Amino acid sequence: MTPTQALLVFIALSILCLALPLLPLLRTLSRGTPRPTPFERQPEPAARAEEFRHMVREQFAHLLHLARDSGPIRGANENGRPFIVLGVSNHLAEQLPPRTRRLRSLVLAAGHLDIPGELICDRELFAEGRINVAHNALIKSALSQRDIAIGRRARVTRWVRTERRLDVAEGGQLKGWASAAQEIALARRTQFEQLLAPRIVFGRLPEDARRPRQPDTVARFDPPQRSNGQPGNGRNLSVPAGHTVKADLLVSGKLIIGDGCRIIGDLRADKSIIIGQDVVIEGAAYADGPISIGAGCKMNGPVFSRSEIQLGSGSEIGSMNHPSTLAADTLLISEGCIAHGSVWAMRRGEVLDERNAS
Amino acid sequence: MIDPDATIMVSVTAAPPRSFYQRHRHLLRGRMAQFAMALLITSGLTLLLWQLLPLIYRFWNHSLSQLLSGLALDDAQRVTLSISTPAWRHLESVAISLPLAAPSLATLAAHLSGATLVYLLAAHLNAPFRAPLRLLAVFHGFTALASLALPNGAAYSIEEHTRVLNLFTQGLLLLLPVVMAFTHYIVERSNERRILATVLIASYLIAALPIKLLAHALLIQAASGLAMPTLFLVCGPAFDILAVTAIYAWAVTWRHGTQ
Repeated sequence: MTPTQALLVFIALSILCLALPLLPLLRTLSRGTPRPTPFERQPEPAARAEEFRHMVREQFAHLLHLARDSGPIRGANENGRPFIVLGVSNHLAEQLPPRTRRLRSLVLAAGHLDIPGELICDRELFAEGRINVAHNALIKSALSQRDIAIGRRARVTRWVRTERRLDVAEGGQLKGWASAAQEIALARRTQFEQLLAPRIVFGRLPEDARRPRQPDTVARFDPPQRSNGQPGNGRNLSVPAGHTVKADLLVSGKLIIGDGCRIIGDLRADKSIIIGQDVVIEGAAYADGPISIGAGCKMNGPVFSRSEIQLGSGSEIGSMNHPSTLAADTLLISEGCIAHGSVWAMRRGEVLDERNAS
Repeated sequence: MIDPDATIMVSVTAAPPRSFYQRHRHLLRGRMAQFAMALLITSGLTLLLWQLLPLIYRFWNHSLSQLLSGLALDDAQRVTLSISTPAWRHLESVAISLPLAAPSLATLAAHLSGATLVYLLAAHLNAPFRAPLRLLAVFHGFTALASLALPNGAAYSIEEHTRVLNLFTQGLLLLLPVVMAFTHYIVERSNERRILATVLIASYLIAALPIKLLAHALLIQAASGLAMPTLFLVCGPAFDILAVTAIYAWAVTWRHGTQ
């Protein structure tokens, strides 16, 4: 081997030494940043809930019937997965050894099902009656034919589906998908991702559930004009308070709607949308930037932001007859808001605790 | 009607308040075995590394000799020193001795031009890389100017440079189990994976040291003593820490609890 060849081999060896500890890093970087999956490509959690319901009906209907008469049944399915089937008057806590922290069994109950506090449930839960998840418990998925109550600081990691009401106490977390046939009620400081129900209530509703609405205003709004008589450049637009606009408002910058306005049409802004208090929007709102909605607003159409939506207290999205969608990367919702339809937080959704807010 | 002379007897029905130890002993009981095992692994690996030091020295000496003879560097020689302190007598430090010529004005101009070029090109980089690279360019310019004022163009020799690198790596190697105990053993992983991660990092440090020392020596000889401070700053102990962090970051992502 000539000295040049030896030097080249040494250089290759040095580069190998340099790169060796960084190989896992390079592999991670080559994968790219994981982007949130678009709506249409996300696996449908509703399908998973239905699949679970079908599995319960096919495999456990007979066992639930037996447990109703004879008491709890323990066993394992053909895959070796353990399960517990409880009767009407059985309690899960009685079936667990003392100081159990983790439950790896599928749990099905013919009556109500009470999950003890601090328990971690690795498998799905099913109850023909009500499911009560006590404080600090962690459950994977739950399906109930009645109500479900999630206790303080309890967490759901995959999905939850109820045929009636879903109540989440203060500090609870709903990761994944939550659906109720009637109503979802979230207490303050609750975190959520995807909610679907005819009526979704955030925090405690005020005594007068709706703020007294101002009478319909009829002031005419003329957009700002240049000296040549043409409308403004369309970059930013501000609608003064108390005006009614019957048009779609499309701007490439920031859109500001003053207090008490009524907009009959869609809103579209490339940057942000700021909506004042007691505004009625009879149309959709879409912004690439953040959307701030003041207190007591009524949005009839869908509201979508690629960034963040802040919803002021007492606001309402959609109606019982016309469900709508509220979707953003981050959703910060004040107490007293109501949404009808679906609420999607791609990254984080939270019901704000404004008791100590100045 | 209450008799004013009646004595009201009060009895305490609640349990007396429990002490701090009583309230938290379940935590202690649950973690005691894990804590003891982590302590055992740390002390065991440290002891093992101490016991393996003579073998590691032999590996470093032998591989450095092979590399020097393979590269046909006639003027280079391996220098092994033992520490004179009696308590640390069995510790050695291996280094490479290479003659270093005093830098000329042309070399200084080349270094300053390079530093200026890097400073200007850094403007095209993204924000996190721009400022550190510019800082490095300024550092290199200043040290190059300062080094030229020194008699031999360098504050120390290649032998001293490589010896310090060796001593730092040795220190890191011997402290590695303790460092891992504080950073990796606190993560919930199996003991086998904890040991494997520590052994992987230690193996890398042991295997890479001769190549690193020789690469430093050759780079300094090629780029003159003006490059020594910058090389030490960028590819010296900082690189060792980067390598340890990179392997640690990988090890910490290994899956756990798949049963």
